[in-house]
Amino acid sequence: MKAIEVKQLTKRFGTFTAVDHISFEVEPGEIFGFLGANGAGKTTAMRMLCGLSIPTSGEARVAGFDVYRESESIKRNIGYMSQKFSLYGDLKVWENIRLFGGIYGLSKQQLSRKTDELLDILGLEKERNTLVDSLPLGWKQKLSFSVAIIHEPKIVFLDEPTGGVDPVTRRQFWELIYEAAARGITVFVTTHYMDEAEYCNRVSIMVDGKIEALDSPSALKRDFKTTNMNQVFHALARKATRGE
Amino acid sequence: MLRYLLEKEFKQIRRDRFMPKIIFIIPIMQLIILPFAANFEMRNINLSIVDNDHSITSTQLVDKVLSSGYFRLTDRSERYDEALTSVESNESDIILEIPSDFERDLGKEGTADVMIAANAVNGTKGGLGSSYLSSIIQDFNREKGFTSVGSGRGVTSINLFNPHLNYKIYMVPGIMVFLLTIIGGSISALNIVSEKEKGTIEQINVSPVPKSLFLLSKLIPFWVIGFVLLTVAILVAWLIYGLVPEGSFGVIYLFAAVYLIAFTGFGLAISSFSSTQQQAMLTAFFFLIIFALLSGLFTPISSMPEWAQKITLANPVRYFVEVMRMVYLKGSSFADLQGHFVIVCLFAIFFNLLAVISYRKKG
Amino acid sequence: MKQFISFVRKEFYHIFRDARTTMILLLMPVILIILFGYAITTEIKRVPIAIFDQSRDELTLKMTDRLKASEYFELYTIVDSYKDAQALFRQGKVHVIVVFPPQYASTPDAQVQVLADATDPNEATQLIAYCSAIIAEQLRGELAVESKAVTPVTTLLYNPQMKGAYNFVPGVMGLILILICAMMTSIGIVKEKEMGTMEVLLVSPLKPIYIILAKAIPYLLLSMVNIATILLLSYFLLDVPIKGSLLLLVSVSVLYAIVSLCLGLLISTVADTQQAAMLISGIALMLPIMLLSGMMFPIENMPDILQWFSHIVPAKWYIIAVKDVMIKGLPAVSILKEVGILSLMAVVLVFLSVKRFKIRL
Repeated sequence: MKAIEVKQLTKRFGTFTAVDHISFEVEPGEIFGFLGANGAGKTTAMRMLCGLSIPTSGEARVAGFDVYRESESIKRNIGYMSQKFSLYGDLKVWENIRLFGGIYGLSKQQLSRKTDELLDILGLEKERNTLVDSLPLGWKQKLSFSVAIIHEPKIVFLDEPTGGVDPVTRRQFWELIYEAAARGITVFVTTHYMDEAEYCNRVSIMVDGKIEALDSPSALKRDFKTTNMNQVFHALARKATRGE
Repeated sequence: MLRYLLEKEFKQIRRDRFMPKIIFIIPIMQLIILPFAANFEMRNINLSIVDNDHSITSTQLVDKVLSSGYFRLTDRSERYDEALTSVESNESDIILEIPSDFERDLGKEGTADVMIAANAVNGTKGGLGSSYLSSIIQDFNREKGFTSVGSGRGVTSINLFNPHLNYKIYMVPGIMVFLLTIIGGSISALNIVSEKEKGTIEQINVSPVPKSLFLLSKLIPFWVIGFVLLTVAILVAWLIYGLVPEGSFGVIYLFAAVYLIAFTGFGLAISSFSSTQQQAMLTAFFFLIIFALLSGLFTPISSMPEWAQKITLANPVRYFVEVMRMVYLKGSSFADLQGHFVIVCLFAIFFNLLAVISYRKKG
Repeated sequence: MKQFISFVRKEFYHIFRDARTTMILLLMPVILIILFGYAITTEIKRVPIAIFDQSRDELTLKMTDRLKASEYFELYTIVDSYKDAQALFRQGKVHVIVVFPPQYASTPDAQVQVLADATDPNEATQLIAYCSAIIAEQLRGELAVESKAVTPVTTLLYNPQMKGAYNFVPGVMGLILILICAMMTSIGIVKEKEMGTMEVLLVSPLKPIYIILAKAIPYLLLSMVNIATILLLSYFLLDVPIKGSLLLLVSVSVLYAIVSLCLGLLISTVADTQQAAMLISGIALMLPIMLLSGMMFPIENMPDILQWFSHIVPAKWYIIAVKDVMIKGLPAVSILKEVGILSLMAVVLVFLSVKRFKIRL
């Protein structure tokens, strides 16, 4: 079974077609990069896959569940981390972990084990009782990611997870992603940092709501006869007609 | 699941810099200030007197007026124009002018006029002031034996439920309702929309939390707060005004329980209909001000025109104000209030259905 | 200057892109004027009444008819016992019950008993007075009694029809200006703080004071539109005259709007979150205006401490000035005191908020 299967998925807002008949598949355990300029339709596509938005037409199955009829089952099997930081700033670090663990039905023992484990991995033991608002951005992002996969979902969706973070922290963040992928979690990530695209198993590049390219970074570089993803991206993005 | 969501809500409220203070300060402040401020009892009306007669009877009349306790003498003028100036400068509210030959006319013709001129910019005040003055003059007539109805027939009156005609006792139960409405309706209106603005709601929306459960986790804390608030208010009413309900606490709390569910649902519905806090606040405020003005809290519903009375039928505040006053002052029982109970329940169902429908996890 | 204008434009977009907010802001004064103009009165009319007639003779039937015919009362029912009467009161169905004793017509000193639900003392007092008057009139008609007395002749100055509008129109103006200028402005500024966009604005080459001004101007204009709406509605719909100079009225309103803006600014420097800004402006501004400005309730009745407190409520002075100019038609000199106090308040508030603004940001 594929982790994600998308066929001709489309979303229109009035006359504006944000996502225009896209099709792709993601294998279990894969790190799938979902690239595109601002306004290309990445976030809209992702929101449909997470069950936050209903598609206008097309088909999509996430973790084997249909996005139209089984969005609640999808929600039990995915993790999500949005562009906007979305943990509760007025709750402490451990309280956020407890809240989201609790929502996903972790037992008491699991909760306390997970909390210790997670704080240990992130090196946040000392910050256990700190309000999330007062953590530096990079730590917040890492915490946010760890909370998004606290229930060991089949797939985790990351929407621009490293926006505004320094290169060192970004590197650490990707280590967390690799660890998750190694445990078998499928990672679906949008980004506009092209160096991050290199870390993915496969990437798709969206332009004006359509997927213009989809392959492994090395294959794409070969096809476009360049040495880095940046140039691949620019070659495609130049065609874009709609701006932000 | 609900347990964790509730834990979160309570922690957030407790950690809020303002919320816990406000929950105690507002009720105490309102209950202390409002009944004194929202008082239609007239005292200390500023009076200018123009006595052109300077006779014994006119002096007696002036004394009678001044000893009534309703009026405060601002000035004695020689001429009406002078008195009018002090009305224009807002020093005085009402003028009593006694014409020259007042005593003589009264003796000779059996009747004499006195002139009352009231500043009626504030209609209620002008009207009440002049009618107090008139009734004092009637008393004066009676004392002097001027009026004789001829027989012993008359009218006796009894003021039931509030024999000392204490306006504060009338206002306090209504203000309690006002309080619960504000807390239930406006603070909850800001709650969901603030999660929208911060973006935290997304994280909940992608989780398997059902929307009714999420709404319930929002409703319960406000419900609990409402109960605490009501209890504080009842205590304050007892400590400051010595006011204890004639009827049972059970009826009050039963109604409050349903009413709070209704208004929290109202707030949550507004919250999920709105995209910014400013918008939610303004919308809530817009409805609350209409609800408050058309609730009979400040002015009697029977005084309103037909169309306004019809609107009050769709106003939940109206029913709870009536209930509180009836239980507090008249000792009405649950049996007397069955109709009200059904209506408040319907409002609770309606607003909460609206909240569930309008809160979308999907865009 | 160009930058400044583009800032003002940005603020206009913020407000007008939100159609619902704009609609509510424009509709609010209309609703308030209509409610206060027509619905909010203490006038007694068609109050439900019950009659307990133990006599049922010619005289009591006549009196019943007279009560029924009166515009003050509406007969709810005729009851047969005190117990029924009590139940009606407890259920809140009637406000007055008139009890005629047995053999009323044939007993020379028989007393009619008026039982009033005095939960609302003012209403009860007036209801008893009206009831007594109707009964007394009937008696006078029957017995033809002459009387001699001092008769009061009452003139109601400035507002002979005792229209509530003369009192509340200035009040509504005071309320709307505070709502828009203070509450909306403070929330607008705090929102930028909360979202972190304030810092972006502050690092721009524009001086902070202009940023604040840019925020304030759209609300100031909007509030002037509202003042115009209120004046038009009250002039054409409620027949409230504008006796004094319109220019003077508008000038005073602008002055008061500036005071409100300063209040909003001060609140925005104190509050960290929009909720806090809303609650502070709600509790510290709206409530005192409704209660202590003399708009709904006469200030004279209040305890000294509240009266003293009412002096620092800007709306009180504004409302006095508006009443003087609009309804009494007095010239500018007679509102010097009010204008002076409002100006002083504006200066103090500007000073305080600029000081705080610098510290906080």
